[in-house]
Amino acid sequence: MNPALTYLWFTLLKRRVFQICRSLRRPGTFIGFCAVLFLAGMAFRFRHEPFYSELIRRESLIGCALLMLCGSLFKGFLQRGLSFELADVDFLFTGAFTQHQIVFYRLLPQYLFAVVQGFFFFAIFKAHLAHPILVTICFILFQIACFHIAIASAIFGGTLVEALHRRICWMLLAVYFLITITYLRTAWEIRIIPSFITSLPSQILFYPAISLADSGSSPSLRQWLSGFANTNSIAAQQLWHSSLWFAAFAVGALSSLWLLMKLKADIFETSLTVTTRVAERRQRIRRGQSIIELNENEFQSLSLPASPWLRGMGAIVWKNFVVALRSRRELALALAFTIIFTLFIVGLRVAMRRIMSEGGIIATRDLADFDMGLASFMGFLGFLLQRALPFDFRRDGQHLLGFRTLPISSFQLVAAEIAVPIVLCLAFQALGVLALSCIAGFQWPMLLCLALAYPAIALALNGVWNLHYLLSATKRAAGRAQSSSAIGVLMIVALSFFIFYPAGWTAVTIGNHLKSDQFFALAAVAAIAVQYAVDFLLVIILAKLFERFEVSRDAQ
Amino acid sequence: MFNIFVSPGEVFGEIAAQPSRLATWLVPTTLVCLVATAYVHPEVSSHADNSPQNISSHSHFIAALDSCLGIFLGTLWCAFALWLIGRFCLKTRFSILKSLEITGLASTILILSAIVTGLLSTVSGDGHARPALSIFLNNKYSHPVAYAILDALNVFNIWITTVLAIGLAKLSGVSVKECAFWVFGYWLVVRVGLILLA
Repeated sequence: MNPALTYLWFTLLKRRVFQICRSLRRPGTFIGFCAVLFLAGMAFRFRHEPFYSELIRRESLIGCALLMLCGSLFKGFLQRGLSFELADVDFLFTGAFTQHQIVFYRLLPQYLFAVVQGFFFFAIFKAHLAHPILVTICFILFQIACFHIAIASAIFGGTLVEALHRRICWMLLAVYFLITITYLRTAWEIRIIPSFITSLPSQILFYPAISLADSGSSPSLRQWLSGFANTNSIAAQQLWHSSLWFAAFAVGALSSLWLLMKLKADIFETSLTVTTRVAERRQRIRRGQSIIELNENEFQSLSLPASPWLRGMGAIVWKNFVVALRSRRELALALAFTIIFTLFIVGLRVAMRRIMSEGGIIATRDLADFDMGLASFMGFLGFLLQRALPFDFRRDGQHLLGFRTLPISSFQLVAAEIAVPIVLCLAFQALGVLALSCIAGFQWPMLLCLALAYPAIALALNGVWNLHYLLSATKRAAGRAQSSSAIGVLMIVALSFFIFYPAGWTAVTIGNHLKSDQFFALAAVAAIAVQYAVDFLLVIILAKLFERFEVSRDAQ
Repeated sequence: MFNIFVSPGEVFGEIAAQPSRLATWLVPTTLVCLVATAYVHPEVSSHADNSPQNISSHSHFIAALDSCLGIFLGTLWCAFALWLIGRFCLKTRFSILKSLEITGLASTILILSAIVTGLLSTVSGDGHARPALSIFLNNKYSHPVAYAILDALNVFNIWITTVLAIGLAKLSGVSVKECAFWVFGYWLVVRVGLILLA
C-alpha cells in the first residue's frame, strides 16, 4: 500500500468527520443523528433480551451470509466498474500509482466500515455468543471478503459489453431465486412452491423433455381440473377464486386501456390550456396568493369610510376585512368547520341530557364541569379556523416591501395584519358557543371566562402561525426557498401547542397549591393573564422579525 | 425432419431463415400424438402395497384424446416458454411461431424415446424401466424422491433439452452456452427443484 495514498485517505476521512460534525447544526440532520443514536442505544440497552439470540441462530447467520455474499456480487456486477471522486480521478489515475495500490486505496474505507460494524456486532451480541471474539473477527473478515467480491465483480462487469452484461444480470437473479427458495425450504421449512404443483401432470410443463410411457398413466387433465375446481382444500379454492377475480379485473383494465387508445381526439391543444392553468395556479400557491383568480370586474371598489378608527393601521384592518368579505369560499369553509365542530359538541351535550332524562343522576357541579369542558373544547376550533382564514401575512406576504413605506410602526402593522383573522375566529367561535349555550346552561362567570380566554387562544394561534407565514414571505421576497420544509411546519405545529404551556402550568400550579373551589377562578384568571402576556410577547417578536428581515433585505 | 437427430443446428438455421410454416410443427406433433396413443392405459395398475389403488374408468378413446390434448398444450407451452426466455432473459425478439416450429421439430426425438423405452421395458421385463439413471435403483418406492430425480435425468430428456438450447441459440443469435443456461435451468434444474422443494 502506498504511504501517500494512506495519508490521503486518512486526511479525507478527517475532513469528512469534521463535515459531519458541522452539519449537525442543521436541525434536520441533528434530529436524524439523534434518532440513529437513540436506536443504537436502545439496541445496546436491551442486548440481553432473548430476541437477540434468535438473530444469531445458525439459520439466520446462513441467511445473512447468503444475503451479504449475493448482494455484494450483484451490486458490484451492476456497478460495472469502480466509482471514484472526480478529484481522485485527476489525481490518482494520472499519478505514479499502480492499479493494485489504487484498488487497495478504494478498499480502505470499506475495511474501516467492516471494523466498525464488527465492533457494533460484538457490543450487541457478545452476551449470546459462545466465542464472541472469534465470531466477531470471522464476521469482519467475511465482510471484507464480500467487499473484495463486490470490487472484483465490478471490475469484471466493466469488461463486458452492455447486452451480455444485462443477460448475465438476469442469470444471476434466476440463480439467486433458486438459492432463496432452497434456503427458505431447508432452513425455515417455508414452501414457496405450493404442493398442488406436484400433483400437476408435470409432463405438460416440461414438454417435450418427458417420457411418453409415463404420460399414459399420469392423471388426466380433466381429472386434475375437476379435482382442482371441486377441491376441499381451502388454499386451492382461494387460489381459484383469487385467480378469477384477478383475471376479471385484469381484463377490465386491459380493455379500458384498449378503448382509451382507440380515442381519436387531439390531446395537444386542450392539454396546453390545462397545463398553463395548472402552472399558474401552482405559481399563485408558491407566492402565497389565493388559488382562485378573481375577476377584476366582479367587485365594485369600496372607498375607505371616513372614520378616524380606520386611519393608519385601521386602513390595513379595513383592507383585510374587505378581502375577507369578498372571499366567500374561505368563509364558507370556516362556517362548515364551525358547524361540524359545533354539532359534534352539541351532540355530546344532547347525549348527556338524554342520559339524565333516562334516570341518570349527575351532580350539578359535575354537570357544570362537563359544560366547562365542552366550552374549552370549543377553543380547539381556533386551530381549524386559523388555517381556513388566510387574511394575514399569507395573503400580504408579497407586499412586505410596500408595508415598509407606510407611516405606521411594525407593531401596529403586525397587530393590523392579525386582527381580522382573530376577529373572524372569535365570531365563528361565538356562533358555536351560542349554539351550545342554547342546550347547556352557562353561568355568567363561565361566560366571562370564555369571553376572556377565547381571544387569548385566538391571538396565540394566529401569532404563532403568522410567524411561519412571515418567515416564508421574507424568504420569497429575498428570492430564496419557495416553500417551507416539513421540519419547519412540524416545529410550528408543535409551537402552536406549546404556546399554551406557560398558562397551563400556571393554572395547575395555583390549583395544586390552593386546593379550594374558591381559588379556581383565581387560577383561571392567572392562566388567562399569563397567556395574554405570552401573546403580547409573541406580537412583539413578530414586529421585531418584520423589522429585522427588512434590514437584512436592504443589506444584500 | 429427420436431420434433427444428426445436425439440429443446420435444421434450425434453415428454420430461422425461412418464413414460418404450419406443417413444420404440426406434422411432428401429430406423429407424437399417434405414438402416445400406443401408451394410453384405460386402467392404471395398482401401486405398492401400502399405497391406495387408483383405478380410472374412462375409455381408451377418451384417454387417447386426453393424451393428444396434453401433447398439443405442452407444445404450445414449450413454445411460449422459449419465446419468454428469448424476450426477457436474452433480450432478443423473434416470432413465437418460430419457437413453435423449434418445439415441434425437437419433439420428434420423443418418438425415438418411446421406441427405446418400449424395447427397454420388454427386454428388462419391468414396465417402469426408463433410459435414465433411475434404472440403477432397484426399488422405486424405497426412495421415491431420489427415484423421481434420477428418472428426470433421462438420456432423451437431456438430448431434447440440448436440441432446444441449440434451437433457441439459432433463433436469438445468442451463444449456445447462454441459451443452455436458461433452457437447462428450466427444463432440468427447475424440474429437479420442484421434486425437492415442493
